[in-house]
Amino acid sequence: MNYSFGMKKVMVLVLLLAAASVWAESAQVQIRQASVYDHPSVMAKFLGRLTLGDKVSVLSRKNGWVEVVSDEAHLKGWTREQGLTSAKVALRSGKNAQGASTTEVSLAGRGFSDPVESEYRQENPQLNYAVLDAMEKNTISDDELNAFLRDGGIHPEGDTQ
Amino acid sequence: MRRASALIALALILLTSNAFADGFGSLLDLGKKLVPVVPKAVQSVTEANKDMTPEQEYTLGRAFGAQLLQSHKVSNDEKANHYINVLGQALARFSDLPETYAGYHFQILESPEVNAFSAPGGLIFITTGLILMTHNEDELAAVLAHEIGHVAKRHGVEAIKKDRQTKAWVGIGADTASALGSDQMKQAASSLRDSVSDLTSTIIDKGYSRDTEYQADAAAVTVLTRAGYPTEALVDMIRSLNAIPEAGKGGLTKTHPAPDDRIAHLHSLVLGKTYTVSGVQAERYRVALAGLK
Repeated sequence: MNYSFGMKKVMVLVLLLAAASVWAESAQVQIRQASVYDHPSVMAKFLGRLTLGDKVSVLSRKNGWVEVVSDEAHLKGWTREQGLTSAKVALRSGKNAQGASTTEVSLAGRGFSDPVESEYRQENPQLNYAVLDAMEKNTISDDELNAFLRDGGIHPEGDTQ
Repeated sequence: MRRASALIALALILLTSNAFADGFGSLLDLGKKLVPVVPKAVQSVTEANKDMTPEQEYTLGRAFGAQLLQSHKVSNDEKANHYINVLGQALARFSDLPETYAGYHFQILESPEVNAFSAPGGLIFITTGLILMTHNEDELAAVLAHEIGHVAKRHGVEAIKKDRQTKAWVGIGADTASALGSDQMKQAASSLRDSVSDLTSTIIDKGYSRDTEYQADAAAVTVLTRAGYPTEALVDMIRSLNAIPEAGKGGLTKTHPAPDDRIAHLHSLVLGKTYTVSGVQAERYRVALAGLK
């Protein structure tokens, strides 16, 4: 087949567009919970949370924020770039410090991770991890944090209320 | 020409099918959606491999926290602990590292020593001695913002000796932790112990370098500004460290640069305006901390 020069250009364009379409960026959540907002600001409307291992499609980026869609979490909105990774997040089975079987999502685990902590704790039974576990339960909702600031007459950047 | 039209139509079908596959896309989004994504994705993979992951930082931070608690008693004052968590978590969202693997959490330590410690990943400890030196919520916010600054700048991770980092970051042997044999697991736990020892030596005993402390002060200014708290409160707080009571000495005074040097470094960042504390702030600060002694 003989294609004209113009025709070849069109074909190249078509192939490039098709390739870009197939390669739309995907990422996974690499922290336990990643907040999602309706626009890129912590003072924006809170929509929900993605959890560790959730897969998202990246729509756009702005100043450290990423607009994502997650079919699993039924969420579309803005989350922080740091909570996402393009590395693989995999399921990992193991035992927790008390010896019970657990299946948890984790980064395909190299280096320090939950199983390594379990080993460390077995070797150092005097260490008090219970206080740390209790500390981690103390998570305050975005709504309460925003109310705290506003009630105190504190006006964060990006606060439109 | 008809062939060209057909190809363009095919391209549009491919594009729109991808856009609709996620349930939210539209043709209007296509321009911004397609152009920058591929090179950025490649770049972020490369960068991610160089860094410690949030989970690794979290595991290290917990191990440091557990070690710190061997020599420090926690305060069980629920009201005060809740208050510093609300204030601290409200501020942390405005840092350059607003979300960590398991979030920022704050705990009061019962000690007259004027001190605070931040573990990688966001566990932050503050003594009653330091809290009682603050005069108002704005100054307490400044102290917490400085500690958040250490976490956000990942100063703890930097404190680990370089020769240990390979094991901590990249791992030992196998690709997955579940595949680690018992010898490799012991090696990893031993590497964790050594890294905690590096952190303890820097954070508790020697202190960070002067430059590192100035960086945390600058990061605190950023956090306070974005959150809407007066940065001048940080200067006031540092100034009052000049008058630490005898019982409180040994902590911050040993591990931080002289207050006047810190204030000199903040000079260009803080405007020096006067500020007022609202009635609501004054009241909640007083009520929450009334039980501390």
